[in-house]
Amino acid sequence: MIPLFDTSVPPDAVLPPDAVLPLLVLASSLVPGLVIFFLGEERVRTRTLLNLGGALTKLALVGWMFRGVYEGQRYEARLPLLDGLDLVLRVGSLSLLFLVLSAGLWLVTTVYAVGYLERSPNRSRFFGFFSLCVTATVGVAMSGNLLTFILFFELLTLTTYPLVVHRGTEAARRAGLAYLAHTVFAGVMLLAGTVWLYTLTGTLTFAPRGFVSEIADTHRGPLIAIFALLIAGVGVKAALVPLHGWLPLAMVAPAPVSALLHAVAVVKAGAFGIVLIVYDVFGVEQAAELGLTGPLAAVAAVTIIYGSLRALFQDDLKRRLAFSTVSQVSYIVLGVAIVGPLASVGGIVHLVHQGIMKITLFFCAGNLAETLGIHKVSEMNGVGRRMPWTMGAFSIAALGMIGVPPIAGFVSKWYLGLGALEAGVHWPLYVLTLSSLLNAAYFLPILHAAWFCEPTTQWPAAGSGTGTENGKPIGDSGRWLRPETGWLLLLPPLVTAALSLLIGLFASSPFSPLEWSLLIAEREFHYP
Amino acid sequence: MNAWPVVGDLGLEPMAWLPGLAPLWPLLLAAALVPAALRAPVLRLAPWAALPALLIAVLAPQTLQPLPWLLLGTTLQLDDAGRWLLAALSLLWLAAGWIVAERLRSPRRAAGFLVAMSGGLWLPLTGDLPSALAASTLAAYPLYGLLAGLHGGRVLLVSVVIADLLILEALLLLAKDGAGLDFASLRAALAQTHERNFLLALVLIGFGAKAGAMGLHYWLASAVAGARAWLLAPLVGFVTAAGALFWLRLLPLGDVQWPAVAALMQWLALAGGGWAVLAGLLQATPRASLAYALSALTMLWLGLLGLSLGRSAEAAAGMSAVFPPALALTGLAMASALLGSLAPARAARAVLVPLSALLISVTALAAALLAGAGAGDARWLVLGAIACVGVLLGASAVAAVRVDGASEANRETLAAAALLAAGCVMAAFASPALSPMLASLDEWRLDSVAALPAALLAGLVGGAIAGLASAWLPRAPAGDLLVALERTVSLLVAAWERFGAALERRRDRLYRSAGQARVVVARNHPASAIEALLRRWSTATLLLLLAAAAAALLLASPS
Repeated sequence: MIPLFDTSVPPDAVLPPDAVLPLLVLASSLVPGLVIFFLGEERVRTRTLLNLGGALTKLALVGWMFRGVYEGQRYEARLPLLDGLDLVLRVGSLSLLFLVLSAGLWLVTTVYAVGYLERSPNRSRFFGFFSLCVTATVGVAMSGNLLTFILFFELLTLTTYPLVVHRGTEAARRAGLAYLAHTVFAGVMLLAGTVWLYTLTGTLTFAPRGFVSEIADTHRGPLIAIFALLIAGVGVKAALVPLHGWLPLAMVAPAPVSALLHAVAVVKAGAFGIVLIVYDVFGVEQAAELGLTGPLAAVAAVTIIYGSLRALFQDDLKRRLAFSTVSQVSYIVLGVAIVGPLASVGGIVHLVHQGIMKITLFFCAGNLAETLGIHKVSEMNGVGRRMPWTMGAFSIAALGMIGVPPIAGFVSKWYLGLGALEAGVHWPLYVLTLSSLLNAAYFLPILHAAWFCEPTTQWPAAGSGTGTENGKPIGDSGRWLRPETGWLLLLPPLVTAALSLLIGLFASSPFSPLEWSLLIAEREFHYP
Repeated sequence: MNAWPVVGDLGLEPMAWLPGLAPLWPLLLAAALVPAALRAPVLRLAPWAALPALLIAVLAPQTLQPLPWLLLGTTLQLDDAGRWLLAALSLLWLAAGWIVAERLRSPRRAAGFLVAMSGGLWLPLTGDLPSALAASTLAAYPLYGLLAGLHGGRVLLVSVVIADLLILEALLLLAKDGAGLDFASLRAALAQTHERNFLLALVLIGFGAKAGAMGLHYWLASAVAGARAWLLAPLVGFVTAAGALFWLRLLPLGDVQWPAVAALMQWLALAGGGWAVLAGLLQATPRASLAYALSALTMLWLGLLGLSLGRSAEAAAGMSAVFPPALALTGLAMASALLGSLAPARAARAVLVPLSALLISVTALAAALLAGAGAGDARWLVLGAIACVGVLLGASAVAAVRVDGASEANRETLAAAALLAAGCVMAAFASPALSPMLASLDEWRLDSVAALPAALLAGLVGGAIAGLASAWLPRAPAGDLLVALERTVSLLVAAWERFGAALERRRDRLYRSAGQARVVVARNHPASAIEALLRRWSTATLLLLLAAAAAALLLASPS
């Protein structure tokens, strides 16, 4: 088995086909994206074919690498960029986890987006940027050094902005402006931190225990400042409080974009960036020695509680979900900042679990808005009878977010809690408990309203538009899975909800996200 | 100890995974409701979905089957305790299914029924705490759904969420030093930890909330008073299997002697019993009174378990042997009493409820006797607790006879009778198993043997008198303190919302002021004024002179 960061292996030892694979992964969304820009609006079939073809190709390529990485294979592509600084794409177990998440969820989001935007204008523009956005995300995932990371991270900003403002409304433009202001500011911080770091270390290449240890004694102050700059740079996308302001505003974007922002691309890229900075730039032990992980954990804890408290009082469904994301993504940061193998496993596995559960929630929110025009929690009374499958999926994901076993969220919280105790700190356990309680407080009333309250509106019935069938609610009509909305809108949340349940139920099975996270901790985190 | 005739004893090959069928079968039936083609036969099978579980409880051999790929690595086990409870639960679900069979035509309701049943039947088969939490979830959330948004159901859900968080915290604290997640490892970890008191509190509160222990009972009376008749048996089953059973599974009985904790638990039993009597006697319906009797019974179990924490390993082993059949029997009898109280004919109520109360009393008495509660310095605490159970049972029996019955409830009556009969059969099965313990009865002093029946009898008689006088008593709502608690919470929420609104108004004022300030600044053009100042020759000259002076100073400095 070749260690991922074995510096004794010269670069030319990497087999050429293995170097091509990361490039092909990038190309599988880049090329379709570029082609789609030039397609006319009426070329629906070609566009769909390109989208799905690209998504399936990416998934197949990632699947190929999955096997290789499991067996210890290293995939690395290196392109000269600046003097002494290459653009490095490297796939190890950690990056592969994020790749699988991105590629898998891109496929379902593409299916969903095709259904969601069936009759919308500017679909070529949308899907073009959609593909570029995923290209940037997988680029972030495969980054082998900080420069490559910044390039793709900023590309992500530029490709998601058009998606946020896609509707072209005043609210969308305002949200886009806020998004751009936050992320450009963050980009400047990130760049400043990176340049400063490069001047001190002369390298930006990610390494298993970081690459700052040699200057840690002599440049303690600057390193602390650099860490703050880098975390602020990625913390905007990770929606750390108080840098989270753009996220609830960005909820004006179409549902597939919200799903992409919250579960696959932007927020996850931010959280992933924090993981890289702590582990591969500073090294977790060095970061702890510099006293950096404590404040980071404190910020994460504040974000977790603040996000949950804010979510509690939102009537707008997507805003509630957005604040829930603010809270939940910081579980990942908390897991990293606790400094311990089990907590890291909890944080890393939550990257996947939160992504799958949150995308389900956004798909369902999109279905409610698209099918029945429901945007607010107060409008959801009785909607479970009209859209039982959508609300069934929503319920599973919401319960998972609370941490109810056997759904995926339980596994994350288990490892985070156990990791905190293993590291000898108890307070994260109380933060997690309080957060779970708050999660229940803002999710359970939604489920109660949807399933047990009488509808206050007469919605058009599925398919027929009559509202009832033989005097019975549609859910009890006795027919085989009568679609309550379009199939393309219904299938993705059902698939991701089932996945949320299965990866929790079979968490200890081989190749589950949990088992893969344990593999990452063993191979890449190098705890003493 | 194994009181059951099992296939394994007959020399047949045991199948370790067989108990898994008990929870899986209803779950598979629920999944089979999706295709329309299967829906009709599944709806016909649904009421009887607990039948395989009953057969497994009676016939399957003892098993311990690790399932390392499931959840965090789980274990499926069928031990003596699990067998008693599985038998009782399957009977309770069969009774519920039979009552509701005609109305179980809605796929959604049937799905809820089957999933709740699956969780309920999984509970006694769990061999570790994470799967116990999962089973409890699977049982409790659909049960909340079946309660159709009743107030008691909502409180149940909130209680379960909080209880599970406490249990999870206890589990994490127990597992932090690498202890396994199975009950034996957790018991050992609890016996050794220095955070014993905190962990015990978490375990007692967490499972106590599900068992309807007094102080955490708010959902129970409210849910029992408002639930449809067919749900009464599953509710009793949930209380029995999701709560007190796990006290037995987790408390290190016999491994440690914690006299202080033991005393506290017995005091809690007495105090809780007293509270249950006070609130239970003021209830408007026999159902609600019986719910308080169930809570008082839970407190009695707590007291008896506490007693064992202060005793030797031998005495604790006795308690471990007595407790599961006692739980199972009282569960069946309590469901019978609740259903019997709905019988339309006064005669039926007059037979069913007192007989069920009698079965509960005898079982509680036997459990207390065999657990050695009649002796010891603190025996009067348990005597008090058992008297409280007697009071509530006596009062409920009298009230059930006095009130008017439901107009049409034949199935409930028959189900109550069947459950009572099943309880008697189960008692007959339990007797031989417990006979070795009864053999030591002749060593006991007369006063210690007589005290418990006397206390119970006094309670029953006192309760019956109180039941007769109930017309003159004031009424309390089911859930007693919950009502006050909810009013307080709603006041706090309203205050919070007012605070939020005030903050928003203040923020808006701040924004307006900032906007006005910006307008004033823009109107006065401060930047233009500064630029005009800089354009003047005098200013430029002064700046140049200052720069020259600074340069001269720098050049003149020794470094």
